[in-house]
Amino acid sequence: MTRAGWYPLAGAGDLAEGHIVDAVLDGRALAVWRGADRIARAWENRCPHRGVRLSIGSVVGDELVCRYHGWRFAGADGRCTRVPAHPNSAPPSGLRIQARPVREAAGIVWCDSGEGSEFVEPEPGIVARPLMFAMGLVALRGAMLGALGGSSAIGEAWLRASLPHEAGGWTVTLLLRPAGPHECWVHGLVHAGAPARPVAIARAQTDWLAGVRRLFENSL
Amino acid sequence: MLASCIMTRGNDPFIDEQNDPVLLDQWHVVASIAELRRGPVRTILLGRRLTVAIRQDQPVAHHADGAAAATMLHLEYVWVCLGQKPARLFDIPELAEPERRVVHAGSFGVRTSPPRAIENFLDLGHFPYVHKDFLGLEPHTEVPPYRVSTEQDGQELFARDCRFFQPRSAANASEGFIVEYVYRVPHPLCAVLYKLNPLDRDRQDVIALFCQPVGPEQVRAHMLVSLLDDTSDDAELIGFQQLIFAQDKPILENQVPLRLPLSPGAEVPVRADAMSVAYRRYLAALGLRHGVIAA
Amino acid sequence: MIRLHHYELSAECYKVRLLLSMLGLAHETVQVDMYPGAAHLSDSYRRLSPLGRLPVVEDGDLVLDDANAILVHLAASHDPGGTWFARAPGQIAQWLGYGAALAASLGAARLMDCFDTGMDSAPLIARALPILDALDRHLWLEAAEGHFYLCGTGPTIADIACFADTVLAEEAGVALRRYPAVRRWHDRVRMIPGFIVMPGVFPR
Repeated sequence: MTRAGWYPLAGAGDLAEGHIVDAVLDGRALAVWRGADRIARAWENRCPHRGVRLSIGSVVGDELVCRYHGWRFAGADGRCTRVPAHPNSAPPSGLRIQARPVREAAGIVWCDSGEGSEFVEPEPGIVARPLMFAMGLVALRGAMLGALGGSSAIGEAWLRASLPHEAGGWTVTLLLRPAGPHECWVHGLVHAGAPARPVAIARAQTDWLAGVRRLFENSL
Repeated sequence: MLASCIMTRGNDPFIDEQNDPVLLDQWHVVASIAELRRGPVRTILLGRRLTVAIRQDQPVAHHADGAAAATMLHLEYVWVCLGQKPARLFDIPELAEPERRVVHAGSFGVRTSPPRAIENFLDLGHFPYVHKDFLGLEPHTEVPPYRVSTEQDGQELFARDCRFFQPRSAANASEGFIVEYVYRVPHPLCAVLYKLNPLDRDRQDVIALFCQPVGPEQVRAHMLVSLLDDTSDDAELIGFQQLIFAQDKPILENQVPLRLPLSPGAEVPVRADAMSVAYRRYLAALGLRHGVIAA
Repeated sequence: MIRLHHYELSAECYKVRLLLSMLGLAHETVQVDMYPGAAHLSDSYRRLSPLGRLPVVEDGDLVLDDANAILVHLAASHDPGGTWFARAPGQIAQWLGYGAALAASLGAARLMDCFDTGMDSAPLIARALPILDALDRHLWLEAAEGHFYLCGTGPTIADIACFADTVLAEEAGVALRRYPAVRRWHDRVRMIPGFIVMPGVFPR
């Protein structure tokens, strides 16, 4: 277990209306989705009926629909609103999907791995492409602090680093999300002072980070 | 013995799922005769590697170290027993009726537990969603009550009077109608479906699913189809059955956990799930440990 | 009339069925019992495709047995709007190549597992992962510029060539959550008018 706190799940722009992101936070599988009401939600990724992952389901309005039997769950409270096999009966009472606390800030969808953790807003920047590393958070953080010259830690899950000069030299805040014992996601915000096309900056950032990942994979 | 891939699970840490006596002392399908006609088959049963072949019309199966395993030919398949041979192996007498076509529709690898695969085969409520436009279609989603019973001293489980509206119930069905089903579970990992024929509604098509337990989370699923259909060719019959099965596959591979939980509170059934509840009870009563999470 | 020889569970055949449907082209289909019947290796089928490849399209006197070639032919000859290929042929041809590489790695691994051949698919998966990563990178960067398809703002045969094997990746044992931009693009392909499914692919 990593310390409870707010971790990034997806770029807010990558979570389009009607889309479901399949994400893992600290061993907990989540269906991260946005309904017609534009609210981002992170639910336990499992239908209580037969255990099917809700991330393979679909979004209809403000409801999430399970792919297996069409059971519907209301975005507002996670309650089951429809069991199509028994259209004239009320769904099993008390049946609801566990929701995790979610907030959107700095162009990122965040989730609290605990309850009531304090949210610290990062310095705003251009949202980077999230990248998965096959290492746990602690090992990855250590490796990054060792390998990235001039990098520094901000708390236990954030780092400040700089892209190499030839890649633009911009400063980046790397936001780590622990997924499993050997899986950590790296989200990021690039702080570009000079006016440049945001996508060019994001491209430079992801290609640099992919290079860092190759370096770590080759040294394993 | 030749146990590989040792995994333990459940309440009793000393029970090894791959050595579950309920399954060791049982016959399991390992290959169809149709497949063996093309040559020997290398496969895995309960974690043990086997080579299966037909020599002089007799089925043979060997472990990796050359030791022979008990075999029999039955219902178009070669069956293997790794432990004590059971007193009986079920039959499907309908297959011997005249004018019937009996077709092996393929053996498929699925990343799930054998009991999850069988439970899905016994399920009606998913038809309008997983098999939309074939076995079901909204708004015809209601599962009317059906009768569940155990027979043969508790060795077989039945669901009778199952009814469901199907827009295209078989390869030769041209219009939707209410299909009547009987489900039969004559073996913990085998299920048979008797289904009203779309053209001759007094007779039944038979579809069987035989799950070979490769491991607690890996199945080799063998499909047998016996139809009263003289209009569709084999490719169409096989194609239809494979289409239906391949629609179920991604659902099965996305269930969490992959092992079937036998505890009544682990998942939330509704009335339509009476057969699923009965199947879980039936497995619990047999004392099955392989591919399940014990209550 | 266009005649398609296909097998329902083949992703290569699905590519062609997808484009036929999206272009709204009338056609007839012939089912080939590839598994377990191995009908694609029969003498009669080899008259259409000497190598026993699926799918085959017959269009008049033309017989093609390669999914990419069929996609190019259909888009070049039967798309009056000219939006599916002609707009950016070089770029599209590159992604057709990626699609073929995915078919040879991810797609082949899926069929090995699906037909329970007992063969080890790990080397094929190892070849597929960098391609999936390159696809994810490209799609994420394009989306950041408002380009929601592989080659710009509208769908092309490049999308079809790369969609089929990647949307079925989990059947080959590759978790798609590793590629969130690919998953998001799958949703967009599902929105294209005329989209159809094959077993293993979910509708919108």
